[in-house]
Amino acid sequence: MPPSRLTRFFERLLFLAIRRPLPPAVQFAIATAAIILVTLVRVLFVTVLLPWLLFMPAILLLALAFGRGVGLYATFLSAVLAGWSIAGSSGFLGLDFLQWVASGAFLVVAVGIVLLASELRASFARADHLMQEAQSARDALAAREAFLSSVLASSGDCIVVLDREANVLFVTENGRRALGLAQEAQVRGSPWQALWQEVDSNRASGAIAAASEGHRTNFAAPARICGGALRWWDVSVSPILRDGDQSGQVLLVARDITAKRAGQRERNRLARVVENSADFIGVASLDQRVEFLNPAGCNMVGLSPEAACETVMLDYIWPGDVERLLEEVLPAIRDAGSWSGEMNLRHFRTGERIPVHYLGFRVQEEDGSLIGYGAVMRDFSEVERARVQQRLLNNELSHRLKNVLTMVQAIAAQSIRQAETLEDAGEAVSARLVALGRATDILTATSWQTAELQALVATVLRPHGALSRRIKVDGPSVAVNPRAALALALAIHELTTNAIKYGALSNETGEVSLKWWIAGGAIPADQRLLLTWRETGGPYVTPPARRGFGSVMIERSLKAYFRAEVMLDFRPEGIVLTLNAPLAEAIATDRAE
Amino acid sequence: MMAQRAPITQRTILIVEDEVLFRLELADLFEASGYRVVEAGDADEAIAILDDDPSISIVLTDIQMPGAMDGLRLAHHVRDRFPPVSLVIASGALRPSASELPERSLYLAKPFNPFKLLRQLNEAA
Repeated sequence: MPPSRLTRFFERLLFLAIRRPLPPAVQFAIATAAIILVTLVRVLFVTVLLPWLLFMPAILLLALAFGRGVGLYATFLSAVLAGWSIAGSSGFLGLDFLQWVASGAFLVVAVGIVLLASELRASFARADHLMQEAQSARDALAAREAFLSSVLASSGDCIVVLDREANVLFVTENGRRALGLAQEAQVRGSPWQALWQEVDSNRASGAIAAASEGHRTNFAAPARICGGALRWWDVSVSPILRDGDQSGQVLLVARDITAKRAGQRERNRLARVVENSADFIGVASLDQRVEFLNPAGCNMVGLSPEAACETVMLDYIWPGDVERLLEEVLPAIRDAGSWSGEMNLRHFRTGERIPVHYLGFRVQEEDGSLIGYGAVMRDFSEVERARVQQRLLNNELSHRLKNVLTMVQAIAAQSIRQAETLEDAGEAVSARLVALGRATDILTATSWQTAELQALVATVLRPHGALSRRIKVDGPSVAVNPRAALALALAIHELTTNAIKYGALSNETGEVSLKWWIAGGAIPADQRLLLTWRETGGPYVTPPARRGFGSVMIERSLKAYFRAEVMLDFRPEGIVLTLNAPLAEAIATDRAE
Repeated sequence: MMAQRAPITQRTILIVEDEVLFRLELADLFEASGYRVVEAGDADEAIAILDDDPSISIVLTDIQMPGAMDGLRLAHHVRDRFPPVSLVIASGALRPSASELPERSLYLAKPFNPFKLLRQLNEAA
């Protein structure tokens, strides 16, 4: 039944009175005014008959609007005013018996109406309250729904709801986009495989089945999306509960981790490079606390990785370089972005100096603000050692060269002094220098450490060709020191030259025996090197009237360098040279050059 | 023959050099110029000769030599023990600093020109 306009007016009036109650004083004032107004109407227009009837509607309205108290007040006021308006001059207070009875009846009826109306009003109030509660519950629900949908919409994840049969019920807007789908409708109702292709089907199906039975699963796996691109997904599959029970529906939250994974892999790669680098790689904060040091760095300075994080930059620097680091290097890194050069570190345990090639650089945020210092250092010790070694070698080489030149100077001067003609002098110098040069070859092969006698003799004899085959060489392997080798080479050269010119090799039949051996002594200090040059079958020998440079040189240099007893004997049947030296002296290489 | 040219003013030179060929050459040269020459192969030998032979007025020594004492120490020893003796020090290695060399000594880098040395010594005499 549709409410009439009047009903609706009353309803509105009633709700207004209930929801916005007036102050009690006002309520009573309105009641008083209304009843007085009714009384006046009654006095002016209505006859004595039924004086109370007019008051009924007013009392009813007042009780409905303001409740029981005001209604009862209006009832008694009506009874009094109605009685007053019909009062005469006789009877008790101007009312006769019948009027008193009627007044009592009015009171009883009116009180009944007031009680009834106030109950009705209370019912209305309850209904109104319920209505308002329902309304606010609806409002809260709407707000929650708006909240949830905005949360879903703002999530970058791909959020999917599957029904009992693992068909797609719902996909978020962002999820749809991440999956390369044009419209949600495209896949609604299709099996979940429509969203991801080439996925590890067993794992995904297993997770969905587990979720529909109430278990939650997380995994990461690659899958192709609509359009064919292969992406990596971090997936969480969980059951959807309704009132604490399983609904059979499944919530699938998948996050595209392709870019993150690529970044992670890149980071891993770089970390491996840093970990495995043979260089010192470290990072310190702006206040110079060391935040990271790779294993090679720890190793270089003798620190454990844990201890490294409790150090500061200056702990690593050689005291002599601290000032330079603070005043030159760090400002250069701050201002120019990097600094490179040589620097010295200090070993934490041994305190040793470690020369390094230092490359320092800024560690900065993306906006370019400085947050720390990085350094890559390479141990320079080897290079430095090599440099020192090189310098020593150069000095040594220069020293040897000068010694050789001095020797050449002596050989040349002596050859010239002894020669009869300039031509003889020239040839003698050349031949002696050739012998010297050949001996040098043998020494160079052992870095001027020793020369093997057999090789030395063979080398010196070689230029004499076929003739040298008449020199029978026999001796064990003995390595002699460089100066002894040079002296012996020159001596053999002189002897051979002399034999070819005047001695055993000057005819067709003569021979030379060159022998050496080691004799005597169980202990090395007693052992001696013996060498003989014995010519036989040559022309008759007469001792020379004047000793030439050759023979003097042979005797004196062999004596000096071998600390030997040397005898050059011009026997009539042929020259014999004997050398008897302490073996230790011949092979010792520690003599100053 | 040359030695007889100036018998009264003949000077004695001690040549301390372990390189025999060069020592031989120096000895020949100085003898030919009228010097009396005494030879030593190392510092110990030189000291023994110096103690025995007061006529030595010049010592020419190499620095690098075998033995416990090198030529530089020998030169200092000579300067201390025999102040009037003239010192000539030769080396094929790096030149010692002035403070390392004894006073009133002549340093020669090897190889040096013995003829020039001879002239210098003759002029100084």
